[in-house]
Amino acid sequence: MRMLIDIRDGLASQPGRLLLSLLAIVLGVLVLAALLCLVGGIRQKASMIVQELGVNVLAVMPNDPETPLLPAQLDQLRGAIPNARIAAIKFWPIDTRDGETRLNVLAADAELFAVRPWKVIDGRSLDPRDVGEGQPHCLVSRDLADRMQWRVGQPLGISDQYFSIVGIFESGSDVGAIELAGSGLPLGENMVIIPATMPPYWVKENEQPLRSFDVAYIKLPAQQRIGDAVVICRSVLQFPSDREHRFSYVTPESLVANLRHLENTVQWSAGSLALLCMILGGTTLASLMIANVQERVREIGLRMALGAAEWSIGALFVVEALILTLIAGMLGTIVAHAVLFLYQGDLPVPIQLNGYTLLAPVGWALLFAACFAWWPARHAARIRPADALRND
Amino acid sequence: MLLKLENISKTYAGPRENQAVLRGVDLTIQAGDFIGVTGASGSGKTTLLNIISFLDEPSGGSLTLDGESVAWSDRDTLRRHRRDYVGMIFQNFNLLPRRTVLENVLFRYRYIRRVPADVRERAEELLLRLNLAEFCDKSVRLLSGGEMQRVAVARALIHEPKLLVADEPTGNLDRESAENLLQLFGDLNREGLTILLVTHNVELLRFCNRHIEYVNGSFEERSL
Repeated sequence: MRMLIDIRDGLASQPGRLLLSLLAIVLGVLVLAALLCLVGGIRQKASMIVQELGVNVLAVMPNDPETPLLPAQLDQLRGAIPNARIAAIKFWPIDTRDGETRLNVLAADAELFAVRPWKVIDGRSLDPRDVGEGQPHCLVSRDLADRMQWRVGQPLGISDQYFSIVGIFESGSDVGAIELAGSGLPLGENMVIIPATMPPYWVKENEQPLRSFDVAYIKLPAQQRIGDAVVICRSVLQFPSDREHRFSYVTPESLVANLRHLENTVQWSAGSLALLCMILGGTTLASLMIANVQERVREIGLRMALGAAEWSIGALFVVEALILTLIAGMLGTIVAHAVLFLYQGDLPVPIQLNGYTLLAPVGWALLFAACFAWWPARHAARIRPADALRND
Repeated sequence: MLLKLENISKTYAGPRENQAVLRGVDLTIQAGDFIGVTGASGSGKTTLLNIISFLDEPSGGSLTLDGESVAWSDRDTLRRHRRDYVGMIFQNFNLLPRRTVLENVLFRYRYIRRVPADVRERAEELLLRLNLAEFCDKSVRLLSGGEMQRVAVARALIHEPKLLVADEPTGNLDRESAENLLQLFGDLNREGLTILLVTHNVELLRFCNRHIEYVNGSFEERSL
């Protein structure tokens, strides 16, 4: 308590510099907190993608929309990798009738839920009958069902066609990560899955039942290596005359590698900015402490004359810097988290907000503060009381 | 014998050559002394006081406190001597402006682990004696110069020191306040407190029972 009163008095002696230091530390911590949230988000996403896609799952996508993946090529793949399970999808972004929500409509076969690790949490999955007979049934992702308050059994109108919702599935937070990373398709939220054999005339007049696919997911047996499967796929799908690759092959490793690249870019750019801001904050803090020591030389002399030990004089200034940093750091990290929380949906990159991202920036700031306050504190502790108390 | 200085010297490093401020000072202070120290400005009076108060270290010589030689290298012992043995009063009061009168008086206990239980009562009694009782909880910024110096006296006396050291305590006071302060010192001395007073004002020496004057780099005893 006595120490806190001392610190209050010390900080009150330099209000202008105090405000500047507070601002600089808030800025530094804010940038650092944002960096940690970004990097954490990217790492979390990388691990989610591996989980989401499945450890031994490979996605095949045509590079050119004019040369899509054909049913016959899927059959060839099934023949070339006999133990694999293969699911193919076609994708359309379609607005709801009220025009307020964009649905990501996926036409899929019954194998989709066997290949992708998605879980039906209410109702049932698409069965071979739905697909075989082209029944107007659909599954919706949980985020969509929750927001639109859709339930199993309700009708869902897409364009001029009504579908009956037969199930709701848990899509994870980013079910479409693979589509996003590999083909530029939007994120997997607002997902509606319909049978692949449902004639999609509501997309395009006189459209026939599906004759081509945007993505094929191949789930390999545990003992088969993804690299080997990619070689097989290439040999099946690529013509010898092709000068360029006609298909892209997306694996968990390739997605994670992309994210690692993004993570490195963020770490270097935002990390440098955060480091600069922290150094700026530390320098301002050191300047405040130096000014504080100079302003309070007589007080330091008095304290020593009354029996203060050198270490207690030094500790006074270090604790002063730490408390100031703690206040500014908490302010900075709370502001950063509040802003990121409010706008995380609008950001083009994933964000992770948790206890670590909340506390770590404050911890780093305290470490910086201790380092930058050390010299002024040492200087204060070494002042000779006789010099400090001189009348001039 | 309370304190004995033998052949004390103090030299400050100057830009070109070292400057000797004290040269072989011998001084014995007995319990109950009220010593007035005079001399020209810059002659080394404050340096002598700083050495006696353990705020500064002599360049040579020895200081004996209660029969024991002081080891200047032992910083912790010096700190304890400063804290327990000496009470100091300064020309410019050196009060903490953001604290109340009582907080200033008790500030010394910020650096004492075991604070006596009756310390607040003692401070209030002391402030009552110094006619400051009504200002107890007021900020020292609201006080006059004379009142501030009395707060500084209370702070110097609260721990019942063996030696009260006052460096030009009347330098910032008007004549009446200076007289009152010296009368208080006289009373305290009659109660047994040893006092070392540095002053320019030779009129104030009438309150003292010894007088030493700085002459040619050393201090000489003068008759009152």
